[in-house]
Parts: sequence; C-alpha cells; structure tokens
Amino acid sequence: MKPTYTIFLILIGLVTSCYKVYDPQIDTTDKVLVIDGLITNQKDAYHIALSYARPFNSSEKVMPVSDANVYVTDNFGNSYIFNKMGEGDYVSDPSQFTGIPGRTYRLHIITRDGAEYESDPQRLFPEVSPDSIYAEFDNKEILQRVSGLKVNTHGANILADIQNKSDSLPRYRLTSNLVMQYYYTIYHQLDLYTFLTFNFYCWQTVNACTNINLTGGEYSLNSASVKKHPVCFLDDNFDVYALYYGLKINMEDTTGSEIKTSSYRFYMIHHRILYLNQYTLNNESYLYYKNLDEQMQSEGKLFDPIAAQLNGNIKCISDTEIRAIGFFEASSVSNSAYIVDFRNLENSQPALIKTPYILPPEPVGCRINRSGSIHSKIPSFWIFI
Amino acid sequence: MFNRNANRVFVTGLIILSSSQLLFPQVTDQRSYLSIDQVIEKLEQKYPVQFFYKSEWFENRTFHASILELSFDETLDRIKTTSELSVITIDSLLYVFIPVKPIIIPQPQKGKSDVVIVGNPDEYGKYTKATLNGKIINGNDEKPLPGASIFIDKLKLGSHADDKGEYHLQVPVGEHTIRLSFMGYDDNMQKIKLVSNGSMNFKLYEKSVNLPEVVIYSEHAKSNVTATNMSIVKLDIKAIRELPVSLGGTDIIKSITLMPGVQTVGEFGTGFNVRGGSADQNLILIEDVPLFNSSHLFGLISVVNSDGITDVTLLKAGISAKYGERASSVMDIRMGAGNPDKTKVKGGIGIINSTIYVETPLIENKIGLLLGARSSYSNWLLHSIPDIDLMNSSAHFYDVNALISFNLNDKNKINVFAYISNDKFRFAENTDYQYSNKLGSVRWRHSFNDNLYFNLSAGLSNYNYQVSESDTSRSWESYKINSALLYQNIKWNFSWIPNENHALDFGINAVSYNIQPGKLNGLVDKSVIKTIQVQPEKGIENAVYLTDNVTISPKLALDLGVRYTLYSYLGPNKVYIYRPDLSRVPESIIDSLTYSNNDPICWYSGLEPRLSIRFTISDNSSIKLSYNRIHQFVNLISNTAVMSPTDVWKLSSPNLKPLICDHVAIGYFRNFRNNTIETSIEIYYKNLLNTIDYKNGARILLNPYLEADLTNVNGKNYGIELYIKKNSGRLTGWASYTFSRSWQKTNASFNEDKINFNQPFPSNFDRPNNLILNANYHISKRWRFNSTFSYSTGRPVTLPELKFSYQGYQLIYYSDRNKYRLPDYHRLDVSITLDESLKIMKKWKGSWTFSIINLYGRRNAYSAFYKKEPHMVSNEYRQYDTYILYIIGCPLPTLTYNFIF
Repeated sequence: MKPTYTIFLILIGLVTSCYKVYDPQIDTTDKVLVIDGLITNQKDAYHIALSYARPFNSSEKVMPVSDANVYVTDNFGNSYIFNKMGEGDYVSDPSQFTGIPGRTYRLHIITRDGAEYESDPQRLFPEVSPDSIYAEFDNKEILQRVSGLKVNTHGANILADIQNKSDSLPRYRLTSNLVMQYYYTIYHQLDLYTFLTFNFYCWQTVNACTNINLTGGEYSLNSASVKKHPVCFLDDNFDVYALYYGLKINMEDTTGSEIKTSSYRFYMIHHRILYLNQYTLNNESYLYYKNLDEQMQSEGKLFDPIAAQLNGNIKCISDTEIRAIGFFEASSVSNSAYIVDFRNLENSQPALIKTPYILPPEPVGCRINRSGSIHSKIPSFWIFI
Repeated sequence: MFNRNANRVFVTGLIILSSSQLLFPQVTDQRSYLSIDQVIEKLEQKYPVQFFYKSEWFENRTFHASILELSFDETLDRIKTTSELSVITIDSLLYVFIPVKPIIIPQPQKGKSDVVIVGNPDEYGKYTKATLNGKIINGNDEKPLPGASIFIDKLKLGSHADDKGEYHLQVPVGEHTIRLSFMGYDDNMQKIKLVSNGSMNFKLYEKSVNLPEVVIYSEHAKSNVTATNMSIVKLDIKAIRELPVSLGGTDIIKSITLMPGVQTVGEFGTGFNVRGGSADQNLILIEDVPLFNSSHLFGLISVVNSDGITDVTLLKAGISAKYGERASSVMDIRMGAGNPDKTKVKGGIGIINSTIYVETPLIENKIGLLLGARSSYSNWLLHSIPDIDLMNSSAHFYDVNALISFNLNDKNKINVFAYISNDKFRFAENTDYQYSNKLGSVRWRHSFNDNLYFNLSAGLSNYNYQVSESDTSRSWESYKINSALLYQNIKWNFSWIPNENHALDFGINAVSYNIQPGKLNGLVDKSVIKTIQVQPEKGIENAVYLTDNVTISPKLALDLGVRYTLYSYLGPNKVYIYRPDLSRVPESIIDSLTYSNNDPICWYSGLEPRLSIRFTISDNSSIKLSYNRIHQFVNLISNTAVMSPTDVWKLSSPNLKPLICDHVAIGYFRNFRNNTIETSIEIYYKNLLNTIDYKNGARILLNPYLEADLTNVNGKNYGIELYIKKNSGRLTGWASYTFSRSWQKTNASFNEDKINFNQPFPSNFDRPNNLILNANYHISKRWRFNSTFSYSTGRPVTLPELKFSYQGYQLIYYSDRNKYRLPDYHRLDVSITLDESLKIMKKWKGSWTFSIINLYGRRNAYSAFYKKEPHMVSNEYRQYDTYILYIIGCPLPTLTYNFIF
C-alpha cells in the first residue's frame, strides 16, 4: 500500500441540512371516534366530549357525535348517565354522581350506528395538594406572538413542593391559568350637569403553561417528595392587551349594559391571579399524558423515537376492527389560587399570596371564562389589596 | 487456499516432469511453439495471476511449449529474457510487461565485451588506484541528477553526485561492477575496467507506471465465476480508492453501500442494511472481533479507518460455517502492512479530521508494527448547518488502531491487534453523548505443514456509552446514564487440505456477552435523581463447525458446512413470569425467578447447515446456489429512525426467542471479453423468525421491563440483484439494479402485542428499487473522471393521519406503522482527478480531485416528522405541520489535494 497524504484545501460549499414542509397524500376514509372525558373527585358536572377525528391535512371543522348513549359504571355496580348538553357534549348530573377516590370507573358509549365502546377501568386516586407554591426570580426568552421575536423577559419561575403521601410514585399533572384583572370607567353625560359613571371590572385568562406539565422528570423516579417542580414562568409585565367592552345606555332607567366589541386596547393590570389545578394520576393516565407530551414536544431531532400511534384506553367491543382514540381519565384534583405580586421580587418580597379559589363567572361549557367583564358590580373573585 | 496449495503440488509435479524432459529431449514439431498470447492465456488458466501487455512488444516471438512446464518464476524469466521486457509485479497477482529497457550509453571506449574501459590503456598496470569521475544525468533531458549514488558493491565503496551531478570516486584499478541509483529512476549496472584516472558519464532513466487502461483489482478476474461462494463483495483498498471520496476521505462502509443488495437509510445513520436486514444483523469483524457501533458523527463517517486495511470482504449469502452470530451478513476486515520490511509514515488533513499512520519493522523480518490514528475537528461543520439543533451541537471523535506482527519462525506467527474509538458530541443544548469502542485480539497462526495449520485467536470488544443531561439552572435534576457491552471470544480454526479435492476448515468458537443495559446517576451531590440500575445480562454462545470445500469435478464444486450453536442465558438475573392469558406488560407479571451468578436460566441451540454449490457451464459462466441458517442471540433495540448511541443491546432470554434466519440464493455468473466484463444475476429469499420489534409507545432506555415493550416479528425478505461490471479499458465501472422487498408481521394473540393488526407491513429497510451506476473514465494518462448515480425507492415511514383534540390539546394520530413512503431518493456525485506525476519512485506525487456531491441539488428526504408550530402570525396560527429533513440539500463541491511520498 502506498503512503497517501491527503490535504483538504478548499471547501467551496457547505453541507446544507434543513427541512421543508411536506404535504403527503394521506389515505384515510375511516371514521374514528374521539373520546375526551374526565371525571374527578369534585362535586361538579363532568363532561364527556365525543367527535370524529379529522384527516390530518383537511380543513374540516370538528364533527361532533350526537345521539350516543353515554354512561359510567363503577366497581360497586353503580351506573351514572351522562346527558347530551350540546353538540357532542355529554354531561353528568352533579347531584347524582361525584367521583369517590378508591373506586374504579369505566366509560361506556353506544353510538347511533350500534357500535359499542368501553374504556379500561380507571382507578380514582386520592387528592393531593401542593405543600407550597413559591416564586424565584429568573429571566427567560419568550417568543412574542405578533413580532415573532424572542425577547429576554424578567419574571419568576413558579415552583411547587409536593409531599408524596403514598408509596406510589408521585404522578401529578398540573394545569395553571393566569387571570389578569383590569378595570376602567366610562362616563356618560346624561345632561349638562349629570354624568353617569360605569366601572368595568374585566379580566383576561391565559394558559400559564401551554405544555403538559407532569411531575417526575423522565428519570426522577424518586418516590420521595417532589421538590422545586416548575409550574410555569410568569413575566413582570403590568399591562395587558385586552378586549374593550362598550356600553349601551337604557335611557329609561339610566342603566347601562355591556357591549362586547371587537377592538383591543392596552390596560394596566390591576392584579393577577394564578389558578392552579393539581391532578393525581393513575398509571394509565400518566403514561397517556407522557406519550401525549412526547408527541407535542416532538421536533424531528435525529434521535427522536419513531412516531407511534397515541392509543388511549377505549376500545370498540362490538367490532375489534373499529378504532377509537382519546382517553377516559379519572383523576382527583386539588385547586388553589395565588395572587401574583412581582413588584419587588428581587428584594425577597412575598411574590405569591394564597387566595380563595374563586373562578371568574363561568359561561356554559367552559371551565374558565377566557375573558369577561362585569360593570358596576365588583365580582366575587375580584381582588383588592 | 485450496487452489493455491493444489497449484503448489501441481507445479512441483511439473518441475519434476520438466526435469525429465530436459534429461530426455524429445522431438517437437511447429505446434510446440506458442505465441505470447497463447502462453499468457495458459499461464492465466494455470495460476491465479493476470498479465497486462501489448502483443506487438514481443515482435512475433514464439515460445516453446515446454516453458509452461517450468515453475511460474522460471517461465516468467524465460519470457523476460526472450523478449527483453521488464515486468512489474503487483501483489504477486498482477504482472505488467513494460517495454522499458535499461539504456547504457558506452563511454568512452567499449571493448568487445560489455566492459567499458576507463582511462588510458597505455597506462595499464602503472597504478594501483585511480580516480573515476564524471556526471550522472537524466537520460531524457540530460539534466544533472544531484544526489544520485554510484556504488561498487564488492568494495563497499561509493559516492554521491554533487549539485552539478558530478561525482568523484577513487578505487583500485581493475574490473568493477558499478551500480548507479537514484530515487525514482531505474538502477543501472555497468561493468568497467579502470586502468588509470578517467571519466565516465552515466545516464539514468525515470521509472514510470503507464497503466492507463488498467484498473487494479486484487481478485483474479475469473473468480466471480470460478469461486464457490456467491453474494460476496470483495474490495481491496485500491478498488475503494477508485470510488469518489466523501468529505475528503475514503470510507469503507459508505463504499460498501454502493454494492448490490446493500443499502443505507441515508446520508446519516449508522451501519448498513443487507438484503433487508437491520444494521445489527451485520457482523463487522476487524481482526476477528466485532464492532458494535460503526459510526462517527451520527453516521457521517464510519469508525473504520481505511489506513492499514488490506482486505475487506462482505458475505451476503452462502456464509461459511466459520461465521455465525449475526443473521444477515459478515464483513471481515483485515489489517496488515503493505510491505513489512519497510518503514512508511502516512498522514493527512481532511475537512473534518486528521490522520497519521506508521508502518515499520521493529525487528527486521521478525516484528512489525502498524499504527494509525484519527482525530476530528468537526464542530465548524455542524455550526455551518442551518439547523438550530445542529448549530448548537458539537462533536469530536478519535480512533487509534495498532497491529503488531511477530514472525517467530516459518511455522509460527502472532498478531496482536488493538483498537479504540471515542465519540463525544453535544446535541442541542444540554445533552451530551459519549461512546467508545475498545477492541483487542491476539491471533496465533501455527503451520504443521503446508496442508495443515491453525489460527487460534482470542479477542474482546467493549462498547460503552454515556448520556448526560445537565441544566445549569436545574442542576439537581442533572443526570447521566451509562451503558456497556463486553464481548469476549475465543476461536480456534483449523485448516486442512488432505488432497487436491478437499479443503477443510473446522474449529470451535466461544463467545461471552456481558451487557449493562443502563445505570442512572445524578450528576450533583444534592441530586433529586434516584440511582437506577437495570438488571445486567449475561450469556454465552458456543459453536463447533466443520466446512469442506469439495471439488467433485472441474465443473462442480461444493462448499458444505455445518455449525452447531449452543446459547445459554446466565444469571445473575431476575426473570419475570407473565400471565399466559394476558399481553406481556408489566401489569401482567405474576411472579419472578431469581438466579445467582452464572446459573443457566435458559438454553437455546440449533444446527446451522451451510451450503454453496458452483456448477461451471463454460470457461466464463457458472451457476451458483447457496443456503445458510444462522441464529442470532443479541439484538439492538431501537425505536429511532437513526441507529442512536442510546439504543440498547438485548440478549435472547426466556421471554425473547433468538432470531433464526434462513437464506437461500441462486445466481448466474458470466464474464465476457476475456473476463473484462463481469455480469451476474442473483435471486434470494430470506425467512426471519423472531425478529424483535418494539410495541407502540415503547420505552427503550432504562426500562426494567424492556421485554414487555417488545414483540416478536417474523420477516420475509426477497429480491433480485442484477450486476454488470467493466474492469478494463478507459471506461470502467459498474451498474447494479436491485428489486427487493422486506416484510414483517406479528403473530400476536393480544392487541397490545400486535403491530398493524397482525397484517404484513414493510420493514424500515424496505426499498424495492435500487439502482447504482458508477463510471470511471480515464480521459488521458493523468485525467480521470468518476461519477456515481444512485436511486432508490423512498423508505417506509409512519405519518400523521388524523387530528383531534383532547383536554384542549391539539393532537394527531399516526398511521399504521410504515404505511407511507418518503419520496424517492436519487443523487449524482461526480469527480475529476488530475495526477501530477505518474513516476513510481518520485518522492512526492500529487493529485487534485474536484468533486461535487449531489450535483443537481436534490433535497432527498432523510426523515419525516411532525412538529408543533409556535402560535404565530407568520404561520397563520397553524397548530402543526409535517416536514421532511434533508441532509445535503444542494450541490456540495470539494477540492482535494492528495499526495504520496
């Protein structure tokens, strides 16, 4: 073999690895039932939403499944009917049915075409509350939706310590909503000397953490307490770009009523309230959310696992060839609320103050009203300090 | 081996016979005289050699047929003497006649003989010593050759030419044979008779290789027809160097993927796939020990450093009983010094790595050392890739290999081999990967006689990886995961040639596996990470084998073999017992059995018949048939598109049966135009029993119940490979087309274990159409053009099929596994090379190569993935999209300078 010396002299081009949008021909004609159901330990109306999945590349709207019989049974032989409330929305009667920790529940669905679906039995675990929720100052790059730019933002990490009270692994799911309160006054001149004053107490709600938040990192399988678990990051902004509510005056009794407009304005935030829901998950729920989270976090990295079907816990028992997707979840939930006060965070001023868990007025079908307004009357959840 | 020894016996017989003919000369007629073409043809038939020449150089000379009855060397000497041509020998296989005659210009007087008289003849006898002077010049341009040496061997006297090419030498008067030499020039021997002070000029002529129409292959041209084996890819390093360079260097494994039946998942990706098999089904042996991860830099470069490699053989079918362990193929890589008696130093600087290579005798003819090393500086390349993850990544690797050969005596030789490779890369921001291969082997070759010898080898291969994730803001959750595999083997192979019709190999092979699947530790003192260690695995695989290469008749030869394999899964371990009426999931565990160290937990054994048949139809065509069965007891578990360093090796266990592969192939081989064009058609069928695949949502890493996330799959691979290769002429190259399918199917009883409802589905390596066109055109003596076009069907992929929402999250539901395909893959690479000098002995020889990879800038899809979009105005608030990732999306031109000294 001859000795060969190789010297690379010039590399004119560069390796250009990138990705581009791919629009493959998708071949699917099956109608696949989607089940979105959750029961908890709270005395509340539980919702089971039924719809058909849509082709991935279609622009079709959600196709609700109506006229289905929906009921839940428990391991004591009890049966609880869910009544149709809206299109594809089936709701339990809170006076008849409240989840009891320790019991197992199974969802049954019979659709109009006779297909019979059944979930795996789901055990409802006891409720566990966080021991403490606190804030630590931090900076974070946040993607601005309008400009598309990443901006370095001051704020705080909201952290949770949770004492595990059982031998089982600490498997919790946290959801958090931030309600920003703002108010303004509209003056209406009734005549030359008379002004009517209308105070508007408004709010806007955002998801404080858009990702699925599960305790126990992939390898934090320590059965002891959960320490410093990140709940969300909150910035220290004091204004909000929110909906403007107008006023319609009834001249007969000089009362006013709100008019929801389509215009948005900047308002100074009066207070922010963090609503925290901590779900205690059983093993199946935890794994489902974990798979769901992996799918949502998937970014096409080289060593990402090959995509796999996100199979839930519901099967068609009348025909095993028929698929069903979604999940029937039974999880206890613990609610708590905190006033967010970041005004002097760096000087170790209290940043979170626990407050009663009072939700903003709730329209039908929603857990938390995304935005709203009440004029002239201070709402029950309103904070004055 | 058999042929060589058989020939040796035959040649000995010929010598005896020819001696008798010399003693008893016979009357011969004109038919006893042969032309040079006839002589060469008979020599090529008789010996595994190939000649290159032009008939006109022999000026219609004829040779007596009896010279063929001499030994090969004697025959060659006769031809050289008669024709006055020189011969260059390459690897004792290729013989090139060249019309280069030493030209001696007589100076200043020439007697009747070849002896040149220097000095004044009248002063003969007057002096005892005299001074010889003169010039040593280039015979072509008459330019002086400073440094050329003039030497009288007998007197051990010599001198060198000065800057003007002049020399002075004082020697005793009388007759002397003067040897003149200079690097890159033919030696010149001249007899002189020095009588008094005198001068004499000498001319030397440059040596050159003039092989514009020759492509050098180490194999005999007809071996594809005459050998019993089929489905074999054999490359020596010279053949590989004919291929286009990739990123500034030659890569053996990347080159192998251009051969029929061998594919790869794309520009990235570790290993290769042979006839639809996964990468872990290939046994890649370097000096008898296997590699468990063959890639550097995500698969961009293979860990096999081509420096020091003398031979690479890939067996795709008809695998000899000497080999086992892996189901699909064997790649046997051998190292060795090109010339063990000469020191060579070799080095290089590439675009992403540098190499150094030393080949030297430590004790002449006794101990030789071969040492090679590579190290990378590839970060700049990653940072220039416009992918956010790769831009935030870093990568570094090195590898070192060494081989020491001890020639104890004629009968005993020992080789000691060592290899280490290490890769470290940071992917994205916080995740560090580190993995290493450590290989070592000792091989003792002992010959009892010419017909019986053995190779006793002991080796080990240790593969380690570590993944660590460290976030400075959350150091308490930082962790590292370590995993390791230790492979140890002893192999004792005997080769025996009882007679010219049999060549036997037999022996034993013992392998032990120790796998540490994973250990998790926190990285800091106050870590919240609990230490987790997945139960280690241990197993032994023993085999005895016998193979016989039988020549039944000149037309029919067989390679018969049988291998018996006995595998045992050993403790310490805990084996879970699952409820038979439920799917194998952790929840269905009803009991466990604990075994102590080295307790046999379960046994698997099997007989592996091997058969290769060659039936010769004519001098240049044959039909071959082969069958082999192989058991595989170690599998790489992966659920990523790319073979990842974090993939887990898993042994066959009570709950995971061993993979059994049955492979049948039949082929027709035919050569044309005096073996300068080779063609073949091969058809194969593989049945794979108990391939391991992962269930949907499987967790591979640190899973104590990994076997519960796996399911047994049966596979069927079949295909047809068409191949044509042109070996000589200005245009050389090959074309291959492969049609193949690779199917898998579960036969599970429970839904959780089923993939695609037990319906057959294409494996990840199913790419039905594959076309390779390679052309190498010698434009002139110095200019060469090379192009390689490759096309293959896009590989199967699982794509998003449905969308739905759950608890406010927008989600997707993927199709059945591998239901769709990526777009077809095709790429054209071209290169043109200019050789600066063709002179053999010139110290510095350079060549320029300009190449363009992906000439027409095809954006070949490497993988498809779904990505959640940021909720932005710019993307119209889309929730998600499907993308394809491509690695080399535009023409990639490179200019490379190679040089030799």
